[in-house]
Amino acid sequence: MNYLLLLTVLIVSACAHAPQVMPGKGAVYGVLSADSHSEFNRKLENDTGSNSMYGEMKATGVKYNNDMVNYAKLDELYVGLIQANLTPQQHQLTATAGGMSLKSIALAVGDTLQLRNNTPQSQHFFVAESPSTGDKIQTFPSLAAGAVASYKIELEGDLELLSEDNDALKTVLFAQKNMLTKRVASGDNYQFEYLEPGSYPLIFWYWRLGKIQQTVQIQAEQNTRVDKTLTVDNVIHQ
Amino acid sequence: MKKTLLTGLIYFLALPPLAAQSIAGHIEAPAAVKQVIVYLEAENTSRPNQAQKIQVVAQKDTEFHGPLTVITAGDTVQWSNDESKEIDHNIFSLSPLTSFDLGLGEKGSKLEQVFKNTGIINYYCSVHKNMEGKVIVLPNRHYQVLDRPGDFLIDNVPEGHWTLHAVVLHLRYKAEPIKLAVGKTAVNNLTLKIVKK
Repeated sequence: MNYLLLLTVLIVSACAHAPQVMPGKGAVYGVLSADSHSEFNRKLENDTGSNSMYGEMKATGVKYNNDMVNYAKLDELYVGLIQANLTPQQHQLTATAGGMSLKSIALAVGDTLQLRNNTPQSQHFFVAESPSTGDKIQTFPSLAAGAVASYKIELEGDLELLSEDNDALKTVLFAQKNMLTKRVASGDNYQFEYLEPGSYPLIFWYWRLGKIQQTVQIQAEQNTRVDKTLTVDNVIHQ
Repeated sequence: MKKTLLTGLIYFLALPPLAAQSIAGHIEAPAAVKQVIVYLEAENTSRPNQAQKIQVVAQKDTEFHGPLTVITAGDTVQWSNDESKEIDHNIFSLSPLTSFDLGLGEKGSKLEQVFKNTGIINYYCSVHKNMEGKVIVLPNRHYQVLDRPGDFLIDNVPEGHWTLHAVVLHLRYKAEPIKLAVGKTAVNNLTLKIVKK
């Protein structure tokens, strides 16, 4: 009986929760995950060599060692929905002597970053376009040690938030106009509710794997499910 | 056949030698600026015929050696899996300049990618979290990589009009380019300033 209960809990937790249906409105929801390169997974399944990394993984039952990207435990995957008349959002970020509290943030152009400086020194933060895409920057006033300030993001695209004073302080940003974002861990649910019927661009992003964009059709009184798995090969060969 | 070869040789020897000079100077930069790559860009943008090269980056102890590779447009980067154990690596880049996924490379494998567009390209191994590297693709071989700002010397620069420039890896800063004419004598004592954007 207890096993049956446990199985039920596991099945329920593995499913994406459909949003409540609202009159005249629709929603999109689903599960966002990240996974290894498909060649890696194929070799892990088929390789029986005791000397190979795959053989070791099979023998120990551990898929990801400490020096490997643990795709099952990534906790900074983002889903963004582009929609008109979006109220600017605020995103929290803390700088410490050991680095930034987040490696990445997906946000809308016009959103604010509330940045707390918990390092022992004042920091001059700035946002720069990724060198592959441009060389614009946006500078912010000096932020004293222990202080908090809100900065409005004006640049668009692939960006980096950096400090002039400490190379270890870096957060990758992805900014799009009119994008409402949700941050999830790999395998978690996301949902955007109370949407007017129509067509919306939906973007899935992880800073090291890039992004996949698709259009979702929202219909009144309906929930649309879109599950996505980000892998190197499905991002690059999309 | 022999006559054609001889005629070609005489024609080649009769051409006036192209003067080649050195360009030297100093990079003036704030203390925060570390590695810079000083380079020349020809005013005439037609690309000279230059032999393509293969630049090798080793993968060992789950790191790229070295993490920064400077090449010329048209060159190839070859990633050589030199691990002592059976460890696979993947090489990929999301850069809009050159995006690629070279798949998995086993111990002893060599994976290659040609880079045609100039710029800075970040690449990663999708298997190992600390494996990140950069390829800087320049328009020609007239460059020098400096670990920190200081004196520079670029040899064998053909006559013509050039712009002296620098790639600055610290994104808060940029170089102030200098236009210069290379003639019969060496160009010395240039000062290339690195300033805040």
